[in-house]
Amino acid sequence: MVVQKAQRRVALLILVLGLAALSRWMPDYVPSTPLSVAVSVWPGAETLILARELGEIDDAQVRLVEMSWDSAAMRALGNGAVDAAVLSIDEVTRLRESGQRVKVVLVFDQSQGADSILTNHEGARRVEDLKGLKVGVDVRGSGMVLLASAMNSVGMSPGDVHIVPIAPAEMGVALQSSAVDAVVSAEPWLSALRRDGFNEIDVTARDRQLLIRALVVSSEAARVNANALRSVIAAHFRLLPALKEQRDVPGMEAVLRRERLTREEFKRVLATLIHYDLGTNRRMLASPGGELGTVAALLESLMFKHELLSSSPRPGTWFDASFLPAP
Amino acid sequence: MRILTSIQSRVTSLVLVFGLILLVINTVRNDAWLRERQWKRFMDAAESEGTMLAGTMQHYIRNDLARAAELQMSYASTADDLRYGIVLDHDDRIVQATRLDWVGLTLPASPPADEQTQINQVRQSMNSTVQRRDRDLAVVAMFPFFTRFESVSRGVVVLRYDLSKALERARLDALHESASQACVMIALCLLLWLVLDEAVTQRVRSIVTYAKRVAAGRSQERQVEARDDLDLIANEFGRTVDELRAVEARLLEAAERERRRIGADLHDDVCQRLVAAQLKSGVLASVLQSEQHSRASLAEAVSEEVAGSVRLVRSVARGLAPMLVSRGRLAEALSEAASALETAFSVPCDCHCHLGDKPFAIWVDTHVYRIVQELMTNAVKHARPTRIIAMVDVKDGMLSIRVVNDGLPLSIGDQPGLGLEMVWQRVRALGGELTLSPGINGSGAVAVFELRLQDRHYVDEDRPAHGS
Repeated sequence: MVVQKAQRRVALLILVLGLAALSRWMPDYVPSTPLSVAVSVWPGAETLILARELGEIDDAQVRLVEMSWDSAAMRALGNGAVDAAVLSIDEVTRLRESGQRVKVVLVFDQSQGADSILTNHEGARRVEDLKGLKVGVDVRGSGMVLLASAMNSVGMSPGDVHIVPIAPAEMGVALQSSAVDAVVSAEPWLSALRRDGFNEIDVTARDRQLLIRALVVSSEAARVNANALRSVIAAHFRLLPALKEQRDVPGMEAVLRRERLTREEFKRVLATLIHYDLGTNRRMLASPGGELGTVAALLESLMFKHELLSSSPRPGTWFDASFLPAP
Repeated sequence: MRILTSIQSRVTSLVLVFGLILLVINTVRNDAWLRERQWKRFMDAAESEGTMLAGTMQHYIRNDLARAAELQMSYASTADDLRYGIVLDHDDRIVQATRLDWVGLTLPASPPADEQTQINQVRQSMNSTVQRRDRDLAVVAMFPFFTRFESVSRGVVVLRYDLSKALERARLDALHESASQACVMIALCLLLWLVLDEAVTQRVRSIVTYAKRVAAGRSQERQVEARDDLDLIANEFGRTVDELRAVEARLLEAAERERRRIGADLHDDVCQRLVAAQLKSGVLASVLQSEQHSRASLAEAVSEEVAGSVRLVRSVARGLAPMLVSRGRLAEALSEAASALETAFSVPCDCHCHLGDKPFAIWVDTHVYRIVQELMTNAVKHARPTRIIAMVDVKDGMLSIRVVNDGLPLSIGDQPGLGLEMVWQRVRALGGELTLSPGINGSGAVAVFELRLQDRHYVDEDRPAHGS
């Protein structure tokens, strides 16, 4: 009886200590926050906006943050204001160079005319014609890669022109006012500049092959909000046919308003993109040996050559096919 | 519930209940306080963000810096709880918005259309407002500004924050805090339980055990130093029991004296009168017989009846005042008592004594005699035995009395009669223990009395030894 009593007391004391420890180290409640995705104005990524308009993504799980252009979205992802962003691969490379833990989980498209160089100089048609001119470009965006690639093709470098940092939305005004002689622009601003009658410099498809847009997410957010991420990616593939075919679905008007393009213009713009389907995504994001790695290697080489990168990006696997829908 | 009958359980339960009540009150207060803090935070955020945006939009729009305004709005849209933000010009056209597809729409054609009335008021008064809406689940801020370098064209920045997630977080924070406090409180209650167990319950149990021993007359211990109220209770109880025992002993002594007086009176007075009557009736019978009177046999019968009465009265007198006990001859007295019972009830009664050489005090002899006498009498009257055996032994400092009968089975649960009550009193007076149990194979009964002999139980050295 005495032994039983002592055992009971010991058990009670252990329980007391356990409760005290639980009180001290009780796990904090971590609220579930929606996955925030910065969506810049890029035609190939409007499937996400369409998904929101059609209710294909849950507001409680995913919050789209609309940003004006890529570099703004890149900064927002870099400083943690958002969990994911639609960026070009060169922008992803810059983030990796700065030590950010990010990964590409979806590849939208490759530009085949949705990025170009325009000039207000009559008769200027070739890249060589840009020599010595003031060229407006978003220095943190894919415009610099296009410029570097185009100049590299003709044995020039960005140093042969005067680089003027300009945000994409300001390029029209800058060209109109001749504050710059040329701009490196992307859709949808490119269509507006073409509409204004500016000359287009000949840029080859080869120069554009490195211009790939993707959905990039911080590694932590990919772990915490995996389900939300999968739902966004699945919604993209579901609505991609509707976007490409310009089906008359609710939400399309909102897309056109965002892009500030007419339906016909938007259709023409989409035709300048090579949209990556699910199979292509699997090949590009496969680890090891995904094609995206090859693209990134070429890109890094170009960026190093033209001092767009000062150090090697963070090593390790930075693309992941596991969030793609099952076949 | 039996568990709530102890002080330990009641105090701990009360503390737990009060603690839980306080916890609930605290949780409600915490929740309210945290919610209020969230509202304040949002109101402050809306105030500062709205003020900043209104100022910058005024600058950007006046100076036609649309792209800068656009970028400003983009960064504003990263706020987690901002449902939407719009910038209206003088004509209620949306010039900037966190939703780019709203840009260019007029206010009535856009989702924030229900704010029209309030927006007009703000534009009219040029006073900003920050208000709670939708049962306090939203905060709407409106900040006016001038769109041109004059005072007529007025724009408005409208920000709407959704508080539902923030309030949910506040509620869960309050619950988390309460859960943590609940763990501490339960731990403290368990600790209190253990402390009370040690400080109160165990001591109460030891005091109850002590009280039982005192009540049974087996413990002479007294707590010399009263450390607290429980010790005072124990000491007071002991004193009270002592007084009761003293009263009981005096009553027993008085009763014994009265018995002896009655026994002496019976022997010295009633017996003598009866003897005289017997003699006279014997003489009458002889005279009538010599005269061959017809009533001679009747006189003879009267003489025999009176003789029988004399014997009975003498027996009663001896039972009431056993002379042998008062002379220190306990063994003989017990043997005589057994014989008297056998004669009176025609049941064989034997009493075997081994008392040793050291004589008991008279009061001990008296109690032992009465105990054996009553146990044997009780058995012969109620158990209808065929035989009764009593054994009284002293060995290794222990006095033991054993009375065995083979009569009816013992019924333990019955209320003891007056005779057995007196036996219990004598047992307590001596400081021994008495147990009653069924006999072999459940028939009859065995009464066992045991006493650890102490100095107080013995007479002075000049008293004759037992039986001598």
